[in-house]
Amino acid sequence: MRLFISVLLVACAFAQTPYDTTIKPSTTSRDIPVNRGSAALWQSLKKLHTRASLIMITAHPDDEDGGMLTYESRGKGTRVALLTLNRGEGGANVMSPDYFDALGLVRTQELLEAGRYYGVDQYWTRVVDYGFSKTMEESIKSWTRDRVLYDVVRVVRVVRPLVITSVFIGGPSDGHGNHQTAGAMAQAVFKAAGDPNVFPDQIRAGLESLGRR
Amino acid sequence: MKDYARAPFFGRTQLSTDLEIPEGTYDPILGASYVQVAREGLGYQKSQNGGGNIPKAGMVMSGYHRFGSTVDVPAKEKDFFEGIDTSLAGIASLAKGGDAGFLSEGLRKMNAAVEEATAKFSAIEPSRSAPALANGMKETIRADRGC
Repeated sequence: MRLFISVLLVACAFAQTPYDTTIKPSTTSRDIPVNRGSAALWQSLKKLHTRASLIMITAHPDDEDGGMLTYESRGKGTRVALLTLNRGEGGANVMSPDYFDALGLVRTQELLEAGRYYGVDQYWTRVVDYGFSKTMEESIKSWTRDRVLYDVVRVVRVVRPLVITSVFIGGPSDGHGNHQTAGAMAQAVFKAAGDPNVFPDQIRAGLESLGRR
Repeated sequence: MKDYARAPFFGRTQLSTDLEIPEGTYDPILGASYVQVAREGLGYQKSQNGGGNIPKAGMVMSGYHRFGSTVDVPAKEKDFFEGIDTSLAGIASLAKGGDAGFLSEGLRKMNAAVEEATAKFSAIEPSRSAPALANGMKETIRADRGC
């Protein structure tokens, strides 16, 4: 019995979802169906056959184009990351009386759960969702441009994607000022992450600029 | 390297749709389309949508505008990675200077192992892929050690 339990624990510890890029302990007792059995192996084979990589940059949990992320990760074998600027703690809540920091915790867990289905690695920056704003200028006034860009550049230098995407274009049609800022950052990081003179402390700390790839 | 944003659903913009992602594509191994799998996940964001809806089977396209590219690409693309070598052999292009010959050979062997494992894949007998994957692991370790 002891041997059986030991084998079971080892198997659980090294159970891998198809989009995992490192060996790490399992955080779930039973993974979702699309991450199990032959389906998981088929997706892993796709991922082993390509170096394609992509990041999506959004503002809040639920902004993401989950269909595209899932198509790329599970359908094409692309290594996919999702960077969300904040936790959406300034938003609405239709399910419980949690707001602000408590809502940020709820929405973080919700996005992590959604990400299991998309098949993505997830990242956030340090900026806070302070509530609704109409323009990018309002968001930048609260956060400062350098603070947001610093974190976005850092994540892109860590993930090193071949393709950067956003659901936002960095203009008024994005609506919320946080959305406009996410769109603008997704364009700014395209050049900034490749320039070693931008945030050189990150380079000194061991990250590499992306260069021309 | 390339940079895109999803073409806006509304608002007055002059942005072109340079690429459309067929996220409604059905995956017979998963038994659902990619957007259906995604919406099941989105449904867990209950604080915002109360549970969400899973769409019926059928094609759903998601349009993207290209803001920048460091590689030559046509005006209309079929894939985010058009013009980029995403094969395993393409990894060798990241090696700057020095003798990368061993790397190209190692990547070629790794790729051959993956293709063999894929060719032998069986949903009802997945272990058929195991020998080729084991060989690929050995080739990966060998290339990592530079021998």
